[in-house]
Amino acid sequence: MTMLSERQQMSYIAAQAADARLNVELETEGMTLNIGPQHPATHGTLRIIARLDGEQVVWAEPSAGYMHRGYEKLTEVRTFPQVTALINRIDWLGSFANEVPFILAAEQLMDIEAPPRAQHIRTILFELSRIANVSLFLGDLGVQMGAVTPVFMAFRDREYVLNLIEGATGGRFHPNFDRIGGLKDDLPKGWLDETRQVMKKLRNFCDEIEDLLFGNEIFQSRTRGIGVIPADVARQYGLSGANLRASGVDWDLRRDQSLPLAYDKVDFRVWTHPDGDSWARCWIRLQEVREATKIVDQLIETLPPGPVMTKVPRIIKVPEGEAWVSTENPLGEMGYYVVSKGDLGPFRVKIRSASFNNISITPWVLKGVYVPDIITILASLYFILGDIDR
Amino acid sequence: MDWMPSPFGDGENDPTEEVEEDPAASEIRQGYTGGDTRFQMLARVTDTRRHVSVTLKADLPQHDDGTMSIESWIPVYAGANWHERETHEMFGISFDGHPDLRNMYLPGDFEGYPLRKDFPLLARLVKPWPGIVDVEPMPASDDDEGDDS
Repeated sequence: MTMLSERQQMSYIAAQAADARLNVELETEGMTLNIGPQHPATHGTLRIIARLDGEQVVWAEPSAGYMHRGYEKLTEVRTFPQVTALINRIDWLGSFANEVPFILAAEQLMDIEAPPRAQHIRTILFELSRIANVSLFLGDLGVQMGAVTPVFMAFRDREYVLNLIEGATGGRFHPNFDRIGGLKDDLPKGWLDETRQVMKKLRNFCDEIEDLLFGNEIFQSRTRGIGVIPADVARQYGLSGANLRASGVDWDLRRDQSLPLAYDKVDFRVWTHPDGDSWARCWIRLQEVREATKIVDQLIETLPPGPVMTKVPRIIKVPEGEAWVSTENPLGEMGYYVVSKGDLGPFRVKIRSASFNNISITPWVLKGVYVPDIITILASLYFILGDIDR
Repeated sequence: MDWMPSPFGDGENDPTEEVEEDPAASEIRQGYTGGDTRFQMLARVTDTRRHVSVTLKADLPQHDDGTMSIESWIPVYAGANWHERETHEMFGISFDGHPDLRNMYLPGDFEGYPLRKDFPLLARLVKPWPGIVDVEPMPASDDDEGDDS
C-alpha cells in the first residue's frame, strides 16, 4: 500500500468529489442578487441587479433613476445665473467643478472672458474640489474592502480642503461662487498661506494612504487584475477621466484643450496606467490628488493681481447660439451643451456627466466576476449618483 | 438615415442626443447649422488620439403617426446605449436596432416625454417661480450682476 501524504489525500478526495459532481450533472439554478438601492458602495441610490451562477456573475445591469431630478428640464425655466445653484448638485462632492463648464459655455456665447485673476482662482477652486472629491474616494476605497481606518483619515484631511472652499466661497458643499464674467468675490486675506499649509497636509495624506492602503496585501489581491477594461472598450463606452487613463489612454481635458482656465500656466503630469484594472484606477486617482496639490501650489505662486469680475450687464441675456464646453472634472469629462435663444434663461441644456458613461460599462465589466469583486469594481469606477441621474 | 460613424472611428462617444424645438409653433430656429424639422438629433464624438471633437446634427422627420426613429449607434459606440435609452424616454425618439429601449429614469408606465417643449413642468404651472424677482432691476450697485440666490 502506498502511503499518501495528507496533502495528496486531500487533493485526491477533492478530485473524486468533482468527478462525482460532473457525473451526476447537478441541476444548478441561477440566482438573482440585488445590490442596493441603499448600499455604501453606491454613493447614493444605485441598484445593481446581478444574475449569478454560483459565485460568478453572468449578467448584471445597473438600474438608475432613484434620484432623477430632471435638471435638464429645470434649467429651461431658470435664468442663467440661477442655473449654477442647480448644477452644483450634480456631483455633490466636487460642486465647484460643476459650475465651471456651464459658466464657460455662457461666457463663450456672450463673447466675454473672465479676468486673469478670476481664471486663476477658478482653477484653484476647481482643483480643490477635485482634491476634496477624490480624497474621499481614496478613503472610501478602504471601507469597500473592510478597512475602516482610511476613511477616517480621508474625512479628517478633506475637512481642511472643505474649510478652504468655505473660506473662499462661503459654502462647504455647494459654493455657487462662479459667475458669468468672473467670480462673486476675491479670496479672503490669509487664504493663500493657509492653502499652502493644507496642500502639504494633503500630500502627507497621499503618502499615508499609499502606505496604508496601496501597500496592503489584501488591497492588492482584491484589486490587481480584477475588472480589467482594455483601452478599446473604454473608448467604446466613452469612459473619461481617471477610468480612461487607467486603461492607458492618454487623454486629459485639462491639458488637451484650451479653455480660459489657468492650466496652460502650470506644469503637471497626466498619469496613465497600462493595466486597466481596479488597481490602476485607484492608483491613477491617488496620483491625481498629488498632481492637483502641485497645481494649486503653482497657481498660488503666480496669482496675478487685478479684478475678479468683468463688466457684465446686471440683467444677463445670453445671445442666441449654441456652445459646448467640457472640462476634466473629478469624475471625468463633464460637459454642457447650452442652447440660448437670446432670453434670460437657456433654451436647452444638455448635461454630459461623467458617471453616466462611466457606469454604463458595468454590464460589460461585471460579466464573469465574482460577487465580492462587484463592490471593488464599482468602487474603483467611482461614480456619484447625482452625476448619473442628474 | 445614413449615420456613418464619422472618420474618427475610434473616438469616444459623448453626450449623444440633444433635440430642439420651439414651443409656440411660431418660428422654429434650429441654431447655427439650421435644419428643417422640429426635432433634431445631436451627437458629439471625440477622437482621443488626434484631439478633435465634432458635433453631428441630423434632422429627424416625424412619421405620419408622430413618431420618429433613427438608426442606433450601438454597433459603433457601445456607450451610446444609455444615451439612446435616455433620449427615447425623454423625447420619444426610437432607435432602430437598439436592443433594449426600457426607461432609465422614469417609471415604466410613465406617459409623455418630459424633455419635449410641450410637456408642462407641473410645479411651475401650480406655483410661479419665486426666483423670478432676481432678474427684475433692483436698487443695487451697478457692478452687481443681480443674482445671489
